[in-house]
Amino acid sequence: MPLSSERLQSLLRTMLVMRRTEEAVCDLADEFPGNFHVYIGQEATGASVLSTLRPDDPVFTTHRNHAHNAARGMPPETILAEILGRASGSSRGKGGTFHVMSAEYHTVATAIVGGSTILATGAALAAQVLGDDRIGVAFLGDRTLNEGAVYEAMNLAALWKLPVFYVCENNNAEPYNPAASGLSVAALPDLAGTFRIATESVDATDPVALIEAVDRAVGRVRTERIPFFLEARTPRWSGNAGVDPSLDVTGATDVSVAWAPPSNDANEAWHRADPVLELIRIGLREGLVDRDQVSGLDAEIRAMLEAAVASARAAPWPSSEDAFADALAADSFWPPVGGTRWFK
Amino acid sequence: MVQMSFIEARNRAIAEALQDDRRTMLFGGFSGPGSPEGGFVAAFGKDRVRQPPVSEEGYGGAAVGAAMSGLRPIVSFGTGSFMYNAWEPVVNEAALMRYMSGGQMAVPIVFHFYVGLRPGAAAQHSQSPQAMLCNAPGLVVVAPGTTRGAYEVMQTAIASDDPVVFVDSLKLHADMGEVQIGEKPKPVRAQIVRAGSDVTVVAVSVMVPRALRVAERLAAERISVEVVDPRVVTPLDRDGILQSVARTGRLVATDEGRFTCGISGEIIASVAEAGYDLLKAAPQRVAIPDVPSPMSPTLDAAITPSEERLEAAIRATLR
Repeated sequence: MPLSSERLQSLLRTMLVMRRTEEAVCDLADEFPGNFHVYIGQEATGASVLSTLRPDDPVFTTHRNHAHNAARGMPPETILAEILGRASGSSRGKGGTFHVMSAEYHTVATAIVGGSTILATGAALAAQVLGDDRIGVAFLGDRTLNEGAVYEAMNLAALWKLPVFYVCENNNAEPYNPAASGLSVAALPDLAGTFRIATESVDATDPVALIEAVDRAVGRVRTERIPFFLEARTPRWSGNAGVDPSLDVTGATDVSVAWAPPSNDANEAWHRADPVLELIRIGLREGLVDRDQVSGLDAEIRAMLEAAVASARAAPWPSSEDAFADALAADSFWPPVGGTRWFK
Repeated sequence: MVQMSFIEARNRAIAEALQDDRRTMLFGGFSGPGSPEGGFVAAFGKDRVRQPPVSEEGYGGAAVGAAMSGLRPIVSFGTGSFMYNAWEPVVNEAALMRYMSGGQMAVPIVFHFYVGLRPGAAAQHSQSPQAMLCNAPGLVVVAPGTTRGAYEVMQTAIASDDPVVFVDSLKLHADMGEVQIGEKPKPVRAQIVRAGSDVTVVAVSVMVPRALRVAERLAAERISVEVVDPRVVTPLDRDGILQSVARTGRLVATDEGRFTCGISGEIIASVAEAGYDLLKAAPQRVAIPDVPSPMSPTLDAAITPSEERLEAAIRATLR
């Protein structure tokens, strides 16, 4: 068993924070404008990758970024306040759900499909030129591989031997059918393999196989200073049929389902696939955690989220003047944006 | 003061930055006079001077990621037309990252390309996207028209923590001028390159030397033309331009870019809006008509914002 009790419990904590944060976003859906995308069902991949990185590795995420930020340690109230457009949000209300990011936690969220791959490739180039041992990390989805920019980035990464980790979260993987992702290939890693980039494909419903694959991949990128493409075949939450998902379908997560599955369970397929429940089942089976520990941990995290939601709801709105700040650097060399008598 | 050409001045600013700061790196070509002997690759190595494959979106985007992770890249796309393939990283990533992050992220990067009409190049190899980029908030767009400006503005662009687009013109490269070297990067504002009292000509990039030659000719007729080089086209130094118009009462704005929604129109709109009472005559603009760039030299001449057209526009404000 490669998962120690300590590592399993740490992963479980991270995944529960990710899950409860996204459930809070679903609950808050009527309190902010616009579309949103949640990460429910994919937590095992993000938690495995982000717990294996160093805190200063630059991570480039996407429109599905809330839980990646949570896993990196950003407080849930900062994430939720940003999604609600409040002044205490990570981007002081300028980014919202699409752009939760943090200089402190080294996360960047770009919501243009393909953007994360080109930027992470450049972060790897910075590590190479500056001679430090950081690695660039890009999260991308299966359909991101429809974008041409991805191949320009992969070619550069292979040509210049850049230490970049492409984490492709294929949430269209069951049954495995690249055509459903708009791709005319037999398997997604073939696309990176054509540039002679090292690849691996892993079943993300198997937390042990997943963490082993991530350890191998990050180890190779870190020490060999090469690009690596990992396809994580991850479940797709049924409430996540598109944008603006709702908890109406499955309800909020009940951790006790891991040891006391309901009879005639309408959500049986989801409960079997749910990576949070699966990690708990493994932990109980292998004696790495007990039910009281799981319940206690979950209660602690639910209380934290309850406080985070209250704090985000009470947070102040940005002032209208804030709309004019941050277009350029505050101590910019250039004329004031607009001049002195325009835009007033 | 040192006498040198526009391209020498521009390349000198780049070479000094590469020498002084190991975070500076180049993508693409900046060869020619002023580059270190043997070229930038020989002087600074292939690691810091990348010759990328034909992948503008890929290397443009990688440069943005590098700028967010500790480097200060200078990226040349060559002809402005090729930057269109890198529209995503330039206008969606570099331009917006500071704002979207609420001021947390900086993208200290310089994008460089050539604009303007080029006989023989035809429509696809002679695009002039400088005005389009003024419509991409979060970018700084600079287009100096003097040799001294080439050095100073490139120096400031490299030192800036904002993403800067350096709009260059091959027609300026041989222009000689005096350059003050060895000074620290300074804030950039509109600059009066020739003082005058009858009419203000706000001239962008290659239009600056044209305006100076026209001003010289008109001086023989006792027409006093003030030539203003805005140097930064966004954010535009509207106040600096207004101060000049307050002295002259007449305005001609000119850019070797397209007419509609162009930089010349923006300059005139700004002055009309805030300085209508200062104007003694209707302002004029001289720009490329709204047609693609033709190949044949005779057709090219038909749409070039030439000295003759500029002179006619100046005279129109004096009637």
